[in-house]
Amino acid sequence: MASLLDPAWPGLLLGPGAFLTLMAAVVVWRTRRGPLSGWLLTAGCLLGVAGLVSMGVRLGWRPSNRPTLALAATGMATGLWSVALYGKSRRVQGLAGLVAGVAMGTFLVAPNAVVPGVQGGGLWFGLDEVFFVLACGVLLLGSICADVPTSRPNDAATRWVLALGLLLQTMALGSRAVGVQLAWGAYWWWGPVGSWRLAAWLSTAIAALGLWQMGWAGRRAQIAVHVVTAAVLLVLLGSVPLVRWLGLGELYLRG
Amino acid sequence: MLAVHGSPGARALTSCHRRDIISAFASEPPPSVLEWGSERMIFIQPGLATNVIERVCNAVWRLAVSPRTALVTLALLLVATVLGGLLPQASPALERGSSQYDAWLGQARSRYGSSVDVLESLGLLRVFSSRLFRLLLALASGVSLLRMLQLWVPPWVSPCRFPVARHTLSLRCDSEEAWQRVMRAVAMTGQRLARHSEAHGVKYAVARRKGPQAWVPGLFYLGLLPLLLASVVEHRWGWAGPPVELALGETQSLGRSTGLAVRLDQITFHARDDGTMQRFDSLLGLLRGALVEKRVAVGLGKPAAYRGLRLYQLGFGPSVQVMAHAAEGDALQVKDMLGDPRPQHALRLRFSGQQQERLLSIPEADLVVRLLHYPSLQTRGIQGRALHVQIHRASDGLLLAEEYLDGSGQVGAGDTTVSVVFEYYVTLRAKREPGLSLAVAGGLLMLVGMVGFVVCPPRDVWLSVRSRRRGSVCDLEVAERDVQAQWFLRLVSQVAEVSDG
Repeated sequence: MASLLDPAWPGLLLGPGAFLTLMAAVVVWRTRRGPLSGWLLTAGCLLGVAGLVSMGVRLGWRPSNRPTLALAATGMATGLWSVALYGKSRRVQGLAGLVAGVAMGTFLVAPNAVVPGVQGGGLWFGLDEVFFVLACGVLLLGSICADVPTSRPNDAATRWVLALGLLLQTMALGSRAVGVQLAWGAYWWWGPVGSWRLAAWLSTAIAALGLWQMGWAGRRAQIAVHVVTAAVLLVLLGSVPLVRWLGLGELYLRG
Repeated sequence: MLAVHGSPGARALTSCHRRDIISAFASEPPPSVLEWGSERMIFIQPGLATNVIERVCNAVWRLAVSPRTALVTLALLLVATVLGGLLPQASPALERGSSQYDAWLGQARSRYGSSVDVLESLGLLRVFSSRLFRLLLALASGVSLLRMLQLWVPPWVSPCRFPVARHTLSLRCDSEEAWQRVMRAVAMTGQRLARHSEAHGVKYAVARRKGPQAWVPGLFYLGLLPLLLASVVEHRWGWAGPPVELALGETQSLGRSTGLAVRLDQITFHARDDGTMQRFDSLLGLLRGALVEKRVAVGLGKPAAYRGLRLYQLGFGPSVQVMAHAAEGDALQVKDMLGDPRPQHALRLRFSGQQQERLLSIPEADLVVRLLHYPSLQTRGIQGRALHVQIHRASDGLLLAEEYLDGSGQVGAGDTTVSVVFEYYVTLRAKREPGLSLAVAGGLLMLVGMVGFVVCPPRDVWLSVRSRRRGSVCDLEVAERDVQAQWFLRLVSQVAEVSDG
């Protein structure tokens, strides 16, 4: 049991609580009808969010360089989006609960997985990461729903999910621009991590344009949302490790 | 000439199906129906757009506002951005051919080998400052401007370029009454006629949203223009001073053009529960000559502003203050052997990425002090910063004393005591940013426009009303995505008496 003096205790207590609640939600979804699984999913995700946020505030842990934390945060976002957008679809909520539970479980197995790297601090960089994780969550949900028959027409749901994902990524880029401007006096710089974030935005914008204005539907819409979700998750989980592995960040900063 | 549909009244209506609005009411295609590929048709009033220039303009306009053009632009930007994220990129601040650029190239070669030369010859080390990339940004600006006009200027409504669904309604009333009914229904569903026309006894119209909701999505495109323009303004009229490193008490010029110098008066370090840095603030004095004009506080992410200048604290690093005392307590003078040669009673030294070793001399005591800084020294059990202090006799190099310090402390050598105080230095940069407000405005407009696209996406309904023997027929064409939308169902129910499907 974590000591109450340990700065990480909220996360270490709330994390397992969230994991157990989410697993309970999945079990209830498989075995019983009624709204209980939805309530458990909401409670589990809120517990998880509280734990992750408290660790972010107290320890400065951020999803950008902690892949398991990023995974857990995305899982929680997926769960909460499923409640908000698919309140009547038990199937979607059940799958989202499973994803959220597995993500939180992964974090609990390796909470200290960290990729050292230059990391901006402060409110605006925090908002950037929150918005980007929310975008990843909604796109992951869209990807799940694209293959699951729901009460809503799939193409319409995919369009809205992409629009929401694009909006959240725009807000994330905006917050990042404010943070970078306040810290270094340049609202945009072509650093490698920033470039990957822009690439994620562009790929989402392409898919949104295709679905909203070019009439992509059916199989093509499904593929688009899967590709975009994979790209955005890769950027969230992999951009900082990739940049560090290639040594690009250090080289850019020296430049 | 962009206003290819700009003459009064509507001239073009398009459908993506062979049996579209136009062919539905005409037993024979009118003389001015133009085929656009195999699936699209454009109806143009007879006698109009007959000259070549206007036709070319039509084609250019349709190409420019086509979603495919936007898609290709975004895809090219994506390719460039991914290349920039995968390949080493020199900062745009580095001029090609300058000594700093050559030094950077050397560092890149030491890491990536000869492949750097190949990338350099292909221009792939400066993707984001290449002409091609700037051309892409200009293309994105142009496309944005045209798409904004297409959304905002009614005569510039472009033909439909996405799949549409057609809804045909058979009405018992005559065409004039049907038209009035359509007008009422359009108004009741929050829309207005953007363009309307009449040909061969058939009334055509394009209806769109009315009020602010019709304008808001266009703000996204409008915002992109000042955002990109801001970078041009910054490049042309902005100014950025050199990075200035300051230890406590030090004074340095902010740049010749400012006439100002800055002095670091105080630093404050706020730590988290686990000892890592949470905040690092500096109190600075801005000096003109010997006079302090203003005192300002800056921190990481907290710039200070003064007379059009903004002062940013780019970072901070370790420094130490070194003093030496004789046995009687008299202060001895200390001299930096490689930097500023002036002897001082209290010497401040910075340790940066390139310089982790410093050599000092204490001439009055015949001593040389070697300082080696480590960000951390796990082999000695020191988690944080550590300083290896060695004191040698200057005349023969004999090592007299050495110690590893993990914080402020003293090292003695014979009658002399060397005191070391752990401090920090800060890196500052002054900037003039005339394009910043433009960028902020652009960013806000883009965000509002994006919200507009999500909350109130643009709507287009193509309408036609024609007479028949008993009553009239109203055709409604709408994007496939809107077929089940509440507003369209309401529009149909308002217009319809009897629907023939």
